[in-house]
Amino acid sequence: MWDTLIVQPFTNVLLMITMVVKNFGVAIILFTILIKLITYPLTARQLKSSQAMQDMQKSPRYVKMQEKYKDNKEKLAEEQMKLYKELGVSPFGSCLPMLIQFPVIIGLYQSIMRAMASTPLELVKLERMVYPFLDSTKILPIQNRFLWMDLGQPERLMIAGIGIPVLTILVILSTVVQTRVMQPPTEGGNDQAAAMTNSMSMTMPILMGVMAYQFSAGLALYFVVSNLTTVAQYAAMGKTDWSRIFPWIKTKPKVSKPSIVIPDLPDEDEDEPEVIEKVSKPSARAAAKRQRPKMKK
Amino acid sequence: MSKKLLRSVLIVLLAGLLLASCAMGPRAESTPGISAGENQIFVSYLNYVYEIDPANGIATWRYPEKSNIKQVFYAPALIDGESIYVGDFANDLLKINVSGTPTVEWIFSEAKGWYQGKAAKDGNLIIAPNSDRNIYAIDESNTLVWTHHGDFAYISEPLIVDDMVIVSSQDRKVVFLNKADGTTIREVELNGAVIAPPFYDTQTDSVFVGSLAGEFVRIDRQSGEIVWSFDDSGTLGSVWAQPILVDGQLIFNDKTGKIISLSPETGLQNWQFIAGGSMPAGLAWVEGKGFVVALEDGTITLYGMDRQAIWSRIVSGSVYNTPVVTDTMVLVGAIKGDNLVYAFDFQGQPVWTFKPEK
Repeated sequence: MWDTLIVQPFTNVLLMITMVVKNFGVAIILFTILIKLITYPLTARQLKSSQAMQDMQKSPRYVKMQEKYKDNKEKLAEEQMKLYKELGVSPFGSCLPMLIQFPVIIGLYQSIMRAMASTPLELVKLERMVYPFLDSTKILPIQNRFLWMDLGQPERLMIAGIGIPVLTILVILSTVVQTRVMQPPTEGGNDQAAAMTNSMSMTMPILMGVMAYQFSAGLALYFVVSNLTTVAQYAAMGKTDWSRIFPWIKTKPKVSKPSIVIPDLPDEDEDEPEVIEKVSKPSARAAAKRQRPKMKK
Repeated sequence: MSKKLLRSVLIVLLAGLLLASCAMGPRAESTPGISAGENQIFVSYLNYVYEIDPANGIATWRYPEKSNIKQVFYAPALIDGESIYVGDFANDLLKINVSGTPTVEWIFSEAKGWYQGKAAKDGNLIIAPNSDRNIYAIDESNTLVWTHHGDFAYISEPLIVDDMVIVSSQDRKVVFLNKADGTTIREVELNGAVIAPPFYDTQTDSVFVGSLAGEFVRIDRQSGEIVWSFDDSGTLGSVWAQPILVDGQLIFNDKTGKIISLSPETGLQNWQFIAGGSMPAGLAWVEGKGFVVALEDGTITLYGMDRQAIWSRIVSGSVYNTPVVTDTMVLVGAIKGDNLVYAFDFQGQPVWTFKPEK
């Protein structure tokens, strides 16, 4: 089921691109960009949702609410849910697009691995996956050579007898850039979230680097292209703070207006839950939409 | 959860992932490499090479004693008296003395790719194909004699005939090399990738080989000319295995399970029949009995030369390897089944099975 719906179509598209460009390395690059473009609306939605959530968590009302119900977790949760509902913000708004993207990303990875069949058994299985309208005898097996690399083997560029893992270095650098670009600003934010993102930004590049060093170059190439495409997508959305990556750059992205408008809590009775004034008519979501900054194209 | 604790948990989790990825071996799926000599059976699979006792199917030893996750063996061992030559996916070719407890005599480590195909030996010269697009010729003292560099990974066993080394290339050709120095004598282009090792017939002084493009050809060894090409009027499927030559008949199969007999001289068809299932594995000849057919679904059948089934058995798992025939047994390697190797006598009776210990 998984193979038929996801991996097989992906593999065939990858093979078709390879047939056209006659280079598997270029095909991996184009295919990764293509998939990233197709999933761009989901990425954009995920970013918007997470921005809305961050804005809400930074608002005085939210902070006050945290302070007020710090000893009553149940009540706090209840109030948070009320606020989410009122503002039209879903706590899962940024997770859902990511969850939808997961099968696509896994399928992309698996299709690249399948296409790089290196043993007879893997070739038999790949041949079976090729749609009848593609002439498998003309495509298979795929020539894995790209620039100085053998895409089916871990990559090393031999300079003066020393094997330098260029792709691994590129994977590490691009992962650093990507995690920094995606990392939300920590000032005034949630401490736990900040700790989590900081840990991720430290360990992810190392983890990806080790994987790129060990695995085939084709996969490392995919990591690099995927990271760079993600950075480009963020840049296109105007969400990139380049000074985080290049400290000598002083310019920060334009300070965007909050994506949602959250009125402050009125002073009220301790025991009675506050009556939250509607943000605007007809709905908070519509108000939030009006207030959202225009995206850079 | 405090910030410090959360950070520690995350770091431990990611460190675990990191270590797990460090510990990963080569990412490739393949089948057991079986080779048999006189009273010797060797099986290469995952992290070990096993010597199997032909009497009972029990492993008498395994190499290495303690597995190394990066050292993966799929290439069948080349048996040479008291030694075997076997390559691994850690890019090493090993000469192992197997007269007693296995002892590594030497390791050839100059390759940069995996050893998937069985090595070949002629006199003092060991010819080993490698995925790094090289064919390596090494002498018995582990000195590199020559290297031939090609355009594609070499994954099938070379053929040595007189002063020539003949290798199948995935780059849609059969390459003829000078055995003395590895220089190319000629390359014969085919329409599809050639995975099956070439087969040589002394009578016609020709090489027979099939390709993934659904063709089966006879190549004159001296001239490199394609004497005839057989594609069964365009209906032949991909050919993944060597033919057998029996009683003047060249018998081979395609992956769809079509079994065909041709005249080696003319390429004209004697007969053909359908074995009844997908068949990436090749045929094996059982002296005085007939030929064994192994379907991917695990159906093993011995056919007489009249194409009548003599016996048929089903093994658990999928079969992609050509069965190996010893003096008394048919050995079938399977993956994703209850056992790795199944041994049958020539009457089709199960003799033993082999499953590696965890």
